[in-house]
Formats: sequence, C-alpha cells, structure tokens
Amino acid sequence: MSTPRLARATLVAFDLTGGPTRESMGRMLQVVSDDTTRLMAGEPTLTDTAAYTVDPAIPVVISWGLGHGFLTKLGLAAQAPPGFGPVPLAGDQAFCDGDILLHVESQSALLVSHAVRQITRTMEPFGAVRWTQHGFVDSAPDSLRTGRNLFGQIDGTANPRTPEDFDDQVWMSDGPRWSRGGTQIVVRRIEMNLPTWDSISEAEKEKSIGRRLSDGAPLTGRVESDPMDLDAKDAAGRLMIPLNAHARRATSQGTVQKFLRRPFNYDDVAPGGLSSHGMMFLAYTTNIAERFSPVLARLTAVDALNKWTTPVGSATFVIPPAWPAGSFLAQELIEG
Amino acid sequence: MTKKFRIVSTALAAIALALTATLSGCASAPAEPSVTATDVWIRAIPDLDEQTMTGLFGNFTNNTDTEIKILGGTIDASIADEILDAHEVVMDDAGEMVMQEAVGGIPIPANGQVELKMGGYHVMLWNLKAPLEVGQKVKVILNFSDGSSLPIEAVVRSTETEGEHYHESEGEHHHGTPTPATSMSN
Repeated sequence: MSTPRLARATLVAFDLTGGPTRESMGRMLQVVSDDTTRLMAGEPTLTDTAAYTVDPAIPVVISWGLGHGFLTKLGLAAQAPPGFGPVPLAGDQAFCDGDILLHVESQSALLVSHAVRQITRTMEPFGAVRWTQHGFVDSAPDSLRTGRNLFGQIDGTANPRTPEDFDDQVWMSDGPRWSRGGTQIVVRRIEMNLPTWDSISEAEKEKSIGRRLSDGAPLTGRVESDPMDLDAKDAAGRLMIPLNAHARRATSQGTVQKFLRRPFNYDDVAPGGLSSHGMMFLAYTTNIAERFSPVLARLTAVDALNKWTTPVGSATFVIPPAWPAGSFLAQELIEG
Repeated sequence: MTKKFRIVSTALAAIALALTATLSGCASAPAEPSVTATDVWIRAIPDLDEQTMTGLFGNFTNNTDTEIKILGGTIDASIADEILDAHEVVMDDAGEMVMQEAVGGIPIPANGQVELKMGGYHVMLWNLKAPLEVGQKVKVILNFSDGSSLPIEAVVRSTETEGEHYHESEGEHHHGTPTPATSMSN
C-alpha cells in the first residue's frame, strides 16, 4: 500500500461457501498464498491455464483482506483488531461487504486480468465472487502522491508521506498478533455525476473542493503542500474556503483522523449500456473507527461535493502483513 | 464407448528395484538424489461418486549423465491403491486424446527435465479411499529406473482444464492383476 498506485487495479470480494472451517480455510489460505507468491514473482501459478501470459518484467502486486464475515463465520470475531468493523451504507447494497478481498494491481491490464482469473479459479472450492470492481489511475511513477480523479481534482494531498507517517497512520502495531504489521482497508465505491459536474464553472468547482484544480494548492495558498488557512477571507469578507468545501470538511484538523487515501477511478459500462463513472475510494488506516469513520460522518453530513457523488458500495477488510517464505497469509490467525 | 488400459507390471518391477536399492545402500554420505522434483501437485477429487482416480504432476530433474525413467511409485493404502503408475495422454490415429501406460516409464533426459502435466505425462492414483480436497498435502514415493526413489509431498490443487480422459468404464481397470495388453481406445 505504501507503494505508488499502479495503472490498473481489480478488487474482488468473495463470500465463503460450503461451511468454512479452520481446516478448510487453512488449505485455502495456503493455496492462494502460493498463487500470490508465484504471480508476484512473474511466474505462472501451479495450475495456470494461461501460463505464458506472465511477464517477470512487469510487476503484479497482490494483497488480501479478511472481512468481518470471515472472522465471524470461523468464530474468530474476538480476533478483530481494534476499531475494525463494517462501515454502513444506506440504500444501494451492491458492492458491499464480502468475506475475503483480493486486490490485484499492475501497469498491465492483461496481467491484472490473468492474475484475477487464475486466483478466482483457485478460490472456487472455497468461495463465490460477491462483487468485482475495476479501477485505473494515471500511471505516473509518483501517483501515490496525488493523482487526478474524474472531477479533474488532485486527490490525496493530505496523505502520509514518510515511513513514520505510515507507522502512525497505516500499519497496526497493537491488537491481535496476526494483524500486527497489517492495516485496515475501507473500500467505498462512489458514483460521480459527471454531466452535472461538467456543467458548472471552474470557480464553482474550486470553491466546492477548496483547492485549485490546476495544481491542488489550497485556495489560500501557493503550492499543494501549503496548509489551508481556514479563516482567510477575500476582499468582500467571504471565506476563501467555504464552510462546506470538501477539503475543509475532510481535514483532520490536528486530530488522529488521518489515513492513506489510495483511490482508483472507474469508467464502466452500466446496465443498459450507459457509462458509469466514479471512484473506488480505498482508505488504509490503523483503526477505522477512530480515524476513518469520523471523517466519513462529517462528509456525509456536509460536503459540497455530495451534490455530484453517490456512494454505491462499502466494504471493510483487515489486510494481514506480508507473510515470510515458508509461511502463508494469516497463518497465525488460522492456526492460533 | 469402451476404454481399456494396457497393463503391464512395471509398478511391481519398480518396487523390486527400490528394494534392491535399499538393500545395497552403503553408509557413505548421502549424495544429491539422482532425481529431484519441484511443483508437484495432484488433481483434486472432491467427490468420489464422480471419480476415484486422479493424476500427479510436476517438474522432475535428472541430476545424472544418464537417462532415467519415472517408473511409478507408492502411496499410503489409506489414500488410494498403493501402487502408482506412470501414464501418458496421447492422440490416437482417430484424433482422440487417450490415456495409456507410459511403457517403460517416463523418460527424464540426462541432465535434463521432464514436466508432468495435464494432457501429457503423469502418475496415476487409483481407487481413492477418500476425497482429495484442494490444499491437502499428500505424501508419495516415486521410483526411478536407476533404482532410486524419492519421497515427495504433493499439494492437491484443482483445475477446470478438460485436458485428458480419466474416466473409464465400470470394471475395466486396472493394475495389480496384469491383463492382456490392449491399446486404450474410445
């Protein structure tokens, strides 16, 4: 997660099927770990049906998450790390929840597709696909820092930068042993109404965001990294960054409400053949309840951008730390 | 549709060879095995009502200057019939993919490799006693023409590839009691 976003990402949520047990989940975690290790090394899986597709020169990054459902179905709810739980979503329940998350990224859409297909086949005896989401970003090498979303907005300015930031905001250092060194992810799918957004002026867009579209600098600053001056007023006495501006509402304001934003755009074909645009908003945090949920609650209550956005999916998972050679994903949890 | 297997007693010969190797073993430091294996897996059979046999696949390397053949192997009788046979899938004159015993064993070239894979060479497990579920680990011992044998832990994996014909008609199989050699046909 601390690596820059790659150009293409696919997220697949699985529901466990057939009465999962610790024994069966141990087998599942071992085989998907084996697939993951091989694909990330640019090698085909043991049962690869398109083995020559792999390319060691093009990285494929694969991560896994375990949902609330995984823990409860195995009687492991007490093993949930602090602050982990579902982030509710009213209304539309598509793209919600899931027991297991598979997340594949690569600069190559073909390699993402290949990895998802092979691993989904490996998962078949254990789980059924609940939802799938595809996303893309500008593949610039520094795209972790700030990429543009489909609003044309530079997004993620407040992200952690240094290893210390990541240790503080992203990587869990306490809680159950199996989860230490991992993180918690919130996957929000946010539909964006581009026709109405496109119909407003650049000035209105910038006031809604609180930052300049050109370079992401706050409307009170010179460069992107300048702090916002939330009290600054223009010559007419109006707040430079309005009360409902997205950046004002989202800012941590000196609290622990900081986390890594790692969004991907989507531009899909909706039922009926029309376009569906939006954002796969991925937030990574040590503690969803303390760090993420208060920000979400503030934005749900008031955010100028809500006029053009509709959340249509919400799912949370614990991402266990990378496993050393000879071990496998979440081994401590399943054998503990 | 009738399918018959050509059956010979190489498996028994393999055991004899393995025994000979054991008895003649000396106390010198263990050298590198003449054959080593990686990525060994067995095709999952989750439902014995559908099928009771399966195949073992993987990469085998010959570390010697002489060709070695995989003759077959053994497995714990609680898992399947104790004797494992070397098999291959070939296309017959009618263009059908058919499975048959790999007569004389599966060759591994000197200082070379052979890949046992779906639709090609493989080692057969017969009469499974319990389902084989994805992720299970199964211990087998494979026997080679140089008299050596290799204990291997294979992982059970699944695949949707319809690469070969494992199905056979009732009562037609199989080893143990040598039967007249006939080509397997459809």
